[in-house]
Amino acid sequence: MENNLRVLRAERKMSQAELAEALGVSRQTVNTIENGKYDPSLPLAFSMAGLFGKKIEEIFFP
Amino acid sequence: MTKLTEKERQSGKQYMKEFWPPMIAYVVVLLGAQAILRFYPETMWEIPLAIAPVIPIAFVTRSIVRFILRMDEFQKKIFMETAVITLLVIMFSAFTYGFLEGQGFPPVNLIVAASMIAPLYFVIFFFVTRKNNGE
Repeated sequence: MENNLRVLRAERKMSQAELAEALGVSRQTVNTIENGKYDPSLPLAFSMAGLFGKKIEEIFFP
Repeated sequence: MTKLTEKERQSGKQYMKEFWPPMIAYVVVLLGAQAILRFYPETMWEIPLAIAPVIPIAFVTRSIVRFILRMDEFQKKIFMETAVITLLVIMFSAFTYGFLEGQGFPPVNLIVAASMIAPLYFVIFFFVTRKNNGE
C-alpha cells in the first residue's frame, strides 16, 4: 500500500522521531510505513489520520 | 545509530531493571547450590537444590515476556517472524541430529542445545530485520 505520510510529515516540519513519539511507536516503524515496507494496523492508521486531521483514505491508497 | 523514542527508552530502562536482579540472583543461586551439593552430595535437598536456579530464571523469562509485550506492532512482527523461523530451524536441527544419534553420534546435553537458541535468534533477527526494512 502506498501513502503520503512523508509529505504530510514534511508539511508539518516533523521528523520521523517526532511523529513516532506522537504515535507511541518506534522511529523504525514510521520509517518502514513511509517507505511502503509495512502496512500499519487499522488502529495505528486511525491514529495517524487523527494526528494529521485527514481521513485514512487521504493518507493511504492502493 | 537509531534514535529511540521516549517510550522505547522507558521500556528499555524497565527491562534492565527487571532483567538484571534475577540474572544476578541466578548466578548466586547457581554457584551456591553447586557448592552445597559438592560438600553435601547426600543431602535430602539434592533435587530442590539442583533445580533452585530455575526460580530466578523464571523472573528473567518474565522480564523478557513483558519487554516483548511493550513492543509496537512492527517490532512485534519482526519478533514473531524471527521467533517462528528460529523455532523451525531448531526443530529441523533436532530432527536431523536425532537421526544421527540413531547412527551412533554422541547425545547432546539439553542445556548446551538450549544455549544455542539465543545466538541463533540474533543471527536470524539480523536477516529478518534487513528483509523488513527493504535492505
